[in-house]
Amino acid sequence: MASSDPQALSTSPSADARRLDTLGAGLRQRSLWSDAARRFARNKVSVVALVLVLLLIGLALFAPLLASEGYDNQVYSQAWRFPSSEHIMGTDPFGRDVLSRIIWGARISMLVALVVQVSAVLVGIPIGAIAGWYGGKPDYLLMRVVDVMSAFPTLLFAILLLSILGSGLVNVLIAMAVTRWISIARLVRGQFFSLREKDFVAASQAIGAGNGRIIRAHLLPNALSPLIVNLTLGIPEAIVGEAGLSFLGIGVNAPMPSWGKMLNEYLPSLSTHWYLSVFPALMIALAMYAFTLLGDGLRDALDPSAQPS
Amino acid sequence: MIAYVVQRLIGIVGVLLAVSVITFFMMHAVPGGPFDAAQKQEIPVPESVRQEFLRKYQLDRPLPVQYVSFLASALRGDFGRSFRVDEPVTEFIGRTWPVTLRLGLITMAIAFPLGLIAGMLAALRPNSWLDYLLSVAVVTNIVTPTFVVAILLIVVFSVRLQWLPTGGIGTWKHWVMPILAYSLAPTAVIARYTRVAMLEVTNTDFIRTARAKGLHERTVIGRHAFKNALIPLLTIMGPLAATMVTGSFFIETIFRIPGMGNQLTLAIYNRDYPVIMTLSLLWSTVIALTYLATDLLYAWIDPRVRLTGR
Repeated sequence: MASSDPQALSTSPSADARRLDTLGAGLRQRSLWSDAARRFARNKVSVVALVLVLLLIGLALFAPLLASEGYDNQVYSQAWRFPSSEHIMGTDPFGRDVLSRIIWGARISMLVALVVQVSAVLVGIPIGAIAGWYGGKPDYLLMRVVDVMSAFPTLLFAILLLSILGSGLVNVLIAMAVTRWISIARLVRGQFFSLREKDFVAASQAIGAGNGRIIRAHLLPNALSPLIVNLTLGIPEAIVGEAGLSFLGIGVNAPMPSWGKMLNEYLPSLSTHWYLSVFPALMIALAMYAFTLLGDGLRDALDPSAQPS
Repeated sequence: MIAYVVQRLIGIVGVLLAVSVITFFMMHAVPGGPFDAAQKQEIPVPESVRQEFLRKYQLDRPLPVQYVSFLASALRGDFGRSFRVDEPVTEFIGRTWPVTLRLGLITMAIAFPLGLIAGMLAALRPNSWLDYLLSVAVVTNIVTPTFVVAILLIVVFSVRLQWLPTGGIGTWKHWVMPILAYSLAPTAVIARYTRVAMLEVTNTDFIRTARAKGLHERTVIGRHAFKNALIPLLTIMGPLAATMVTGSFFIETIFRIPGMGNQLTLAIYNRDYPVIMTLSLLWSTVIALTYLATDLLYAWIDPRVRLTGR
């Protein structure tokens, strides 16, 4: 705020506030983001993780081009084939090409990763912002929800919810978003709690900026880096959540080729056709690896003071 | 101190009430009942018998009445009878929890010390090849879901090498893979936090002072650094211990271990209401009490921490 120019004072307080805000935001964003990008690029592990993540996204986007067969293409004469040059990952009991199913499966993992985070953000940010800025009753309510949900056995909650809703991709997304927003609301609330005591907020109030404006222009941008890290690290959680539920047979429905669902379908033939389970298992591990390392890299880049791990 | 504990315990009672209400109404919202034809794969029960069953287990009464009556008996230590196997739920817990506990405690006894040692080794030589090797191992173990690890272990040790049985319990051989699969992630988590905590402590003034005094390096690390690094680690170990003693659902299911977690899907599938309620309450109680114990232990070890209301 030290960079204000004297001419600005002649206009109305709110216009003044807006000008100062955009000025400050512009300066800070440029330096923060380019610094972060430089730090990120210097970290080889993060760059590899980013490449892997982009590959996975590419796999999901271009699945129709990359997969040689449809995910439910059954050729019974070709069933139970071990990996060969014709079917690199073999074929399953229904004669479906496992590699093709793996490629199609990337779509489900990426979709889950995206939808759960986006819907959790849409719910979690407003609630966390209100609780953190206004305090009082909304905050008390939010914290009681946090108390209860952190003691509630997560898996039991998900299984009960899916038993009520029935299995299926959409319901899996709902079941995971229902618990996911809480962590985001809690994070935003905590950030706002400490930020609202800062001088620049008081300064903004002094020149007449309203609550909504302060939240949007000052608090949210400042809470952005921990939020990005939380969201990135929420992705592997969502991927493993879907895989786990599908593995238990209450996630996506057959013939949808989620990696977790494939494990669930192929587990009974583990002792005779081990390759069927190994490839989906490795893909889950790979996706987890990529997104977790990306999240770690982003954290180190955005918040250098955080402890490296 | 006592006021704080009382306040927290009141909070826990409130949380448990909320958990029980949510579990109760969610499980009753699941379509179908325990004595419906669809639930009984064997022979469908005649309608008159079904009504008789519903009356016997008081399932014909309004839900709020059922809830209050469950709560009232639960407070007296009576958690009802399992519908599936006709035994009191307390006996069911007494039968399955020891199995889960055995797996959890052995895993903890392996994972916690191993994680501490690995983290210490990595922190003593930061950026050495050992540090890198350990950190790769740590990340791999943290990100790989237990059910994926379990399946890969079965493929290698049971299917290919045929050294170990795929599941069930009996000889020590049955326990090798479950414990291995179960202990990898907590070991890695502890190693990761130990490394960070040790690095942080070794940069403090009192460690420099201890070294300057000419203390033996072993004393500096073992007595001064390690003890202080342990404090933040408690916050990790508490919740980890809670999950260990309540059991891993995936591990018990994959390796067919007759513990509590294994029974959960069966209980939900059979709409075995008393069992679902009791498991949910038991798990939340353990989680909530562990958090409280962690906070108390934390304050006891580190006098700088003040316990306040919130």
